[in-house]
Amino acid sequence: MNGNEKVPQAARPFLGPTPSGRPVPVKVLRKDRLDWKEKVALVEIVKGMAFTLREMFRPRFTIQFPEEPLPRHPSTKGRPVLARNPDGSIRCVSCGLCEFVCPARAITIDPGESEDPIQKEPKDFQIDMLRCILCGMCEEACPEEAIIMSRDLLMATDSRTKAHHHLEDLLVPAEKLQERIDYTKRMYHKWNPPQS
Amino acid sequence: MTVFLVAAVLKVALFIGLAFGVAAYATLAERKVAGWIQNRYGPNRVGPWGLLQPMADGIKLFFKEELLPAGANPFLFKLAPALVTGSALLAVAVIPLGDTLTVAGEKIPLVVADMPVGILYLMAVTSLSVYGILLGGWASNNKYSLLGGLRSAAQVVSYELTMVLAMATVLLFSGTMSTRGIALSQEGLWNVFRFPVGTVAFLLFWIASFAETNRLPFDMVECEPELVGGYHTEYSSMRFALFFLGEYVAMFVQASMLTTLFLGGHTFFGLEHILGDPVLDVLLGAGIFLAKTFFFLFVFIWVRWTLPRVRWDQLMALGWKVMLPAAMVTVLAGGAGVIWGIY
Repeated sequence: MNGNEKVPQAARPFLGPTPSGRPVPVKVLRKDRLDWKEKVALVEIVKGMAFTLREMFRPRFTIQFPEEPLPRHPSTKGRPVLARNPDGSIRCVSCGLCEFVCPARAITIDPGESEDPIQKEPKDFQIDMLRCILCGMCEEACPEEAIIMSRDLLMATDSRTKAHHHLEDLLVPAEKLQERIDYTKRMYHKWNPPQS
Repeated sequence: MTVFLVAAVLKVALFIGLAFGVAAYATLAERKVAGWIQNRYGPNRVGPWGLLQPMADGIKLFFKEELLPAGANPFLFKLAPALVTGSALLAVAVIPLGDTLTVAGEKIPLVVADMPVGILYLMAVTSLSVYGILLGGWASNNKYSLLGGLRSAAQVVSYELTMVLAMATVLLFSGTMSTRGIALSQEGLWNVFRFPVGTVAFLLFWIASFAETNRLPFDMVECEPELVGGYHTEYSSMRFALFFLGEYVAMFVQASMLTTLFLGGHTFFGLEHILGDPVLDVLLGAGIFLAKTFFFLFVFIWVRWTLPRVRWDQLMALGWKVMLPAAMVTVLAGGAGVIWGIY
């Protein structure tokens, strides 16, 4: 659009200069004079009062926020959490990719041995929520779908130590995060279509 | 004699408590109804169902800083809120809450002062509140406040005429100026139902009472889009709260006057005698009176959240060109009706 295209007449119902400079004739559909009934406005007042009275008994739009959860789209990037498998094992293998990719350096992993002889398990997994910028790069980097951006946006605390989230604060059952995992997969395939 | 004195003190305490209680909870009701009309809940956090909200507001206002604008007249600035609340509270004295209570052989009417000139006293006292608003607007040294005060004076003067004439129609019917007498005179037939004169007078009084209490659609005095806050722009803390309180007490007074003058006060087609016990019947009558008053208070709030503000010239045109002639005709028709024995 550079402004020189022909605009169809029907698409310009308002008065004003057209690209050609000629004003468009406009037909005003409402009356420009009020009759005496409209001037007295009693009927309109009664109508308005009836309307507001009806509205008083309609359901409320308000969400009682701290008690009722806000509806959130799966694209919400809230507090990063760690997924726990249904059998109770931790998905994270302490590979350190999230720790490395984190632009705010909010993640600190303390890796340790696990029962499985070939892979590690975090002894502790710290996220400093005072540093975290909720960018979601840890989630993108994670090869195990272990660190996931949850929908939880309530991160306010009254002390610095409470803002350091440890492993036990971060673990969340994986099935609660499935919607987000599916969403990120879908988005990934949308922007990175398989090469044929 | 002692019974009389004790009763008088108790009645004063009861009526002042009632006026302040109703005013405090009217602010909550205002916000609740506003919420409902706009599909919200209204305040519901302080106490169960938000019932402690007025106390929280009061405590907050107590601890706010009091500001005195530069160039303001300190004496008048401090006097104005007291005038508004004081005049509204004085008017509470003539509200006839109920019938006569008989305690220890002493007849105690449920009204603080059953004056033979009750209506005259009421008009005199309620008109005083406009001095408070005018002084508050003038003493603030603020052009918006001054305009608000001036508007208030002009508006109240215009609508008080209509109001007095509507009252005069009622006085013709009842033949007494005592508020209790007027309530009792309607035991057979409420003044609203004296068609058409009583009904028209009722409507005129009702519309004028919106202008008297500076409520929407006639709140030219505050008129936020034009005058910031009107006369109370410069007020803060408890002085602001006093203006607010005065406004709501005045609303209560107007609602109870509508009840007394046109809706039969504590009477309800003989239903007020249904319990048969003299004490319980008086209490029932008081309940009926308060129910009617609360209905009018609700309408005050309901109208505020429905109708837009009228323009200043429209307000004046309505007052002088429509309401005043209509009120004059009503008084003449009422007088003729009384002379010829129709009413």
